[in-house]
Amino acid sequence: MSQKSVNWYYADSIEKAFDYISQPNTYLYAGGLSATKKLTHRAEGFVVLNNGILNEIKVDNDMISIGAFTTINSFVESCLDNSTCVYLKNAIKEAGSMSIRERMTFGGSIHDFPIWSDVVGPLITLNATIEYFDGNHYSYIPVEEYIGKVGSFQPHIITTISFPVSQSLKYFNYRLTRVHFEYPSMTINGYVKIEDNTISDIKVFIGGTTKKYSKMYDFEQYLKKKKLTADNIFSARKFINPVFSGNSMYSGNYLTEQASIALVDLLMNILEEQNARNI
Amino acid sequence: MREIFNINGKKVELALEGDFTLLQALRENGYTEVKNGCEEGQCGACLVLVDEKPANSCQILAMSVKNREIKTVKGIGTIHSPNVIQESMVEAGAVQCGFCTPGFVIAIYALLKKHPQPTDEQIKSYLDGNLCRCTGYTKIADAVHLTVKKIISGEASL
Repeated sequence: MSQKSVNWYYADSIEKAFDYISQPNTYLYAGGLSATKKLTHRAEGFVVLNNGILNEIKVDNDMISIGAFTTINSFVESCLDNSTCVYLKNAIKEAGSMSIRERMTFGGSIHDFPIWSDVVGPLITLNATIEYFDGNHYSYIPVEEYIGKVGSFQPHIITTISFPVSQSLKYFNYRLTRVHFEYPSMTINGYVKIEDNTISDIKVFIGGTTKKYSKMYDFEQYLKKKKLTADNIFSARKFINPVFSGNSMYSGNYLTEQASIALVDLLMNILEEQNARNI
Repeated sequence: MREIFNINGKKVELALEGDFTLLQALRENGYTEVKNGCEEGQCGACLVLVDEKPANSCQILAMSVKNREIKTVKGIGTIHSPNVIQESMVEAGAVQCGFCTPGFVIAIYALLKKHPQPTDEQIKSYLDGNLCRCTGYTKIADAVHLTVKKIISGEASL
């Protein structure tokens, strides 16, 4: 039985789509996963962008550009094999089942940023940038800045997501699930930059926390400019303190403890790789 | 309201409301081969093809795919003219209660279109969104291998 009437608009250009979403409670329909869960009860209209718009993946001048309507599975099955794409593919290849991955889009995942997102953390790790259209012109903003401001943005349409082809960084990724395609209770993404066996830069992003995500600034500051050793990694553990609400499977305290264990393990794996390389 | 959709290669008029899921719209217009399992995108029983890609119809609002090609399991094969996948599912003993079967047929069809000779890993990946409470999945995997064998031998085509 119908809950309420909803207007549908079909746009063959970004500009036309923008005109439609400028109406009250009218939303751009991407993969639709958020629409069915959250928006049906308050949405008055949906805008469907014609097939083929904003779903290209391009490599241009050392940057990868992903159209906002590119699905997760399209990207995972693409033949891009540079280091940043390999990391991103590994991080998102189990984001939902196959049929869900065929619907999830990059733009929708960033715009709606659900707490269980597998997509946002890796993009922040890659220092990805969003291009968006605000009705008059195209602007750019880092993904990390965007997710902190998304509620305050005027109507806009995310058009592309870009990140470098390669960076001399060691990436890591972790997701906590019971079965492999389940929405994760927690994700950890980040990178370490190592120069002369010293951590010259480190970034950690933990998704699924009480405020949707947490940055580990104290942890990062502690480890920067220190040698990559087991002692330093374990000493930094006291700064790993993300707060989780918990869910039906795991308590908040369990998730905090698990985050601590997982992050230490991830860095220890990088240390072991470095040691193996130095032998 | 009534709108024209492209289903199983034919333009048909569906009676629906603007907030209907594709699952609702299909089932209420007689396409009951699309099963309602969980309505949460978890079980895969409602799987259809949208532009040849598998999609959980319970997670799509129907009007969003008004201009796309939608295929249900009957668009792949029918009782009078079964597809090689459907025949293999029966032969391999991969059907017990049958409720999950239409969703699996869709998923296997999508798999073999993309990977005509899939590895076990690809089979697991493409079928990871389909749940079966009856068979334990082994015979479903056997059905996939049997289908591939029949297609390679020229005995059948997808």
